[in-house]
Amino acid sequence: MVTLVYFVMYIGMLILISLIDMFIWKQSFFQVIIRLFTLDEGTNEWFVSGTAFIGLICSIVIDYRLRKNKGQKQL
Amino acid sequence: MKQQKLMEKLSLWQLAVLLFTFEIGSVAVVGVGNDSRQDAWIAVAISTLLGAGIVSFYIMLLKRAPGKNLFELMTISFGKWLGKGIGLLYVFYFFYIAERVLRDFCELITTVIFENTPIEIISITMMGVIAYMIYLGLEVFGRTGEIFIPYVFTFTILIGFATFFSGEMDFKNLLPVMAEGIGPIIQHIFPRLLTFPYGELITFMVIIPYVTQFKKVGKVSVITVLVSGMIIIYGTVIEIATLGTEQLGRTVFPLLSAARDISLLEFIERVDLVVVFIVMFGIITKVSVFFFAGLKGLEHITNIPYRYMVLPMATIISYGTILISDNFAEHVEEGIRFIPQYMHVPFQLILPALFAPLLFWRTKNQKKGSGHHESK
Amino acid sequence: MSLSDFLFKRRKNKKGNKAPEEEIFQKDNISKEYFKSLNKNKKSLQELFKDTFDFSCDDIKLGESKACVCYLGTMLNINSLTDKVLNVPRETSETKNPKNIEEIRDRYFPTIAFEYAETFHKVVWHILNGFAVIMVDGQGKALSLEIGNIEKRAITEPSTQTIIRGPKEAFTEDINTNISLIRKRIKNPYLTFESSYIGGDTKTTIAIGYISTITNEDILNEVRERIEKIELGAVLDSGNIEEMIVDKSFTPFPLVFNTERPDSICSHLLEGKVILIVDGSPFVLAVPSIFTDFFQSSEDYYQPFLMPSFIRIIRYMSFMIALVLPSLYVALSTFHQELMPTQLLVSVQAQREGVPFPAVIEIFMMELTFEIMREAGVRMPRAVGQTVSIVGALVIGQAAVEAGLVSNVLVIIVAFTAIASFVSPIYSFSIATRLLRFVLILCAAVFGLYGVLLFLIVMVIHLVSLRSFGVPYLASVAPFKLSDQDDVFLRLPAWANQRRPSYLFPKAPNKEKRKQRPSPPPVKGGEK
Repeated sequence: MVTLVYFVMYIGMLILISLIDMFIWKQSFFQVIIRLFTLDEGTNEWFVSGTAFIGLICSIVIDYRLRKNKGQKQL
Repeated sequence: MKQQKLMEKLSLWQLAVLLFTFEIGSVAVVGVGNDSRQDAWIAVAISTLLGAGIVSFYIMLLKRAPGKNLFELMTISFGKWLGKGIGLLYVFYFFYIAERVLRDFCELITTVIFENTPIEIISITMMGVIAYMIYLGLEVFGRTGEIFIPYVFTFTILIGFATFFSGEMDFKNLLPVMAEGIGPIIQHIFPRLLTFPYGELITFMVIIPYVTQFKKVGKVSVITVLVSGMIIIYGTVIEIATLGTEQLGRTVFPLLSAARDISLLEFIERVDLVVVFIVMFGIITKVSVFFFAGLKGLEHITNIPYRYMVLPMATIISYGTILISDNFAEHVEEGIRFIPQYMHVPFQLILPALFAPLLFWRTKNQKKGSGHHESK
Repeated sequence: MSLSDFLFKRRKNKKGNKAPEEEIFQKDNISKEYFKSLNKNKKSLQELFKDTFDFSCDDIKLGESKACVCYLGTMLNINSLTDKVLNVPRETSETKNPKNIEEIRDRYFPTIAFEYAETFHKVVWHILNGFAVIMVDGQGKALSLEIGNIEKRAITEPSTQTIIRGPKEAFTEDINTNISLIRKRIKNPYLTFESSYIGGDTKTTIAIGYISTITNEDILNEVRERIEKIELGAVLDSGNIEEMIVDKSFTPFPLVFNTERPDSICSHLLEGKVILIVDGSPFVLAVPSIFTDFFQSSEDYYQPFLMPSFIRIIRYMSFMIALVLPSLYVALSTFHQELMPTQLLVSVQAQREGVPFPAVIEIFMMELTFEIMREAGVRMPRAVGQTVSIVGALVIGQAAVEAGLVSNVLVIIVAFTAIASFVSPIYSFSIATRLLRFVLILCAAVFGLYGVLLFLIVMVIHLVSLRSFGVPYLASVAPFKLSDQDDVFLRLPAWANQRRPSYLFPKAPNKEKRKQRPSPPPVKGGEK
């Protein structure tokens, strides 16, 4: 469930950002998305991408734990 | 069923503290009303009054159903599914604004103090602190505010005095008053000034239901908004008087630029650090409030306790902080051209105005019903 | 808001009615039953203490009935035992056979403090505690006589918390002495001490003390419960149980107040706290304790109020200095030279010119050296103390600078930090700053001032989230309470300081009801 929330938020956030970029830059949706995903030279964008990936792993772990707890006791 | 004891509560004082730091947080970074030039303080004053009105409107909504937060109110007025859908939109809105606020701060740090540090690191570390605080709960958040408020308050006041005694202030900069009439001022008040520091208080619709003395909330919040408005006016006057309208128009972080002119006793110079501290805590408060509000929304939608989602969502926000714009210019551009009109106004004013009548109608029925019950 | 809302979790108090002595050997493999036959009892006792040289079991005759006196010779005064017990039956001329154990006591040992032991467990327990146990054949219980003390340390001056003006007594290792030190100061029938025994192997006595008319029941029950839950092999000092009863042990900050000053403990009792005395430890604990407790010395209350208020502010300042000064140096000298005033910057940089290390390494080296010296100073035998201080001060301080390994400024900073960290009146609190200082230096080395600020904010968040027995650690500051401010950062004069701290939810909120601000007597008209 947490993983689902994670994906919903992630994709929603991407769409929101690209919508705004589309408005500002007057570009098409795909151009914007591609621009979002290319790691710019010289920046450390992979830091945050890595963090976001850690977040994804975290959410999977949390989901796993939640399910285990549910199996153990009705909470 | 959750136990009553586990419910986290804020005191009125903590609410006031959070409101106050929330208000002056971002404002200390980017400044407000710079477009109104020397009349900025008038614009701020007017918008403060209007802001107090908005806040009392929000609290009036909350009072219709005590103990329910923004998302629960929307479920009440729109029904379960539509309510949750709009709630999700609000979550996006809150998270997006959190990212923007955090980005403001990251830019401040990287351009002014910390030229060599990658902006990503700032975003991740800040978000780490915020996630830690929010994970520990609303009570901890409130108390952290209580610890820092004396410093934030005194430093803000002291900066004014220090610039004054450094002889950097020139009150002629404040003249002429309203040279171009009231027209441009009003244009700046709506939508930008009204929505940026004051309309954002809609997030507190998620927090206020957790305050212990709910009855006094209205009074306290309005007074706090007025007080923080005064501090913002104070800050704006400092900025205008110190920098002059020309420089104020060019600078990105006005309070910081003003503080840089401080020079006392030939020893107290470069008090940037103090400003960064004020700003930092203000930003932490502000992002936390948005983050918490968004998480509460997710909790309402998914029925998972929000603590489970703190860490994943924090990483998304730190990711989004970097992603929202390529550079500061774009960030500012978005802040001027897109955010107020297409995000703030609908979420802060139109939607609440839309569901207010619905809410009134629904709770009216409920109140009648319960009243009927009691009379029996 | 009641305390039950305040505490995280409130559990039901289930204080057992059984006397603790009954349960004390439950987990050991010792039979509980006390037999009527003397031989059986004697046998099992001798079985239990079989290889112990100091255990004796002397046969005596009390009138017609056979009896025996069992004791640990090292736990009591042998001379008085001989005088009071062993010789008595012979001297008593009466020959009539006493009926029961009460009569025996009445006739032979009327002047000695006594207790009856109905179970075998109790017999063993009494022997271990230095009683002489008299077992009489055919009687259902034994008679335990308190003979006299074993040696204990005299009451001395406190060695860790010294003050200039005020009482000079300190607690000792003996629990009874400690309780008497408290009772001497608080003559109040409601001052209560409950005892229990902790430690599977040591069976240490612990006393929970409180004033029942002041202390809040919820806090008391919480303490009782946590004490009950402790399962430890050995308790040798109050520090052992401290870690078992705190709300959160993963924190550098002490959540339990400890002191060896009776007057300080008394003032905590009178505020409505619960104290814990552990036998064998001169350090008495007081709970719940909050952050600001560690900045208060009992002397603050014995001097006129202005100076202590000033001193308190100094203490808070030195806490901050001890925490951030080295990291500020690192951050300023490596990342933010422009933030220093030019003159200062020039002189700092001039001194650093010959130093071959970056500031972080430099300061880490010196701080570590200092920690080593401090540790050596505490542990080493007194006789070599002089040597170490000379070596430390001269060789490491001066020579390191002259050799160009470290700069002068740095030595000043390290020394000042060290001194500042000693200001906290309670030693266990200054430990926290020592540890956090290193973390802060690391943060400063990586992120500069931003790191320092970030860490301080995290530290505050952590502090704020701590609780001591359900009471927020930063109580009276966060959550803020105006009425408690009379004794936090400032110490207001005694007449204005009559309210007990509200975070303890005391049963009696005021110490004295009357406002009693002193003022000169009114001048009468006409007379001079």
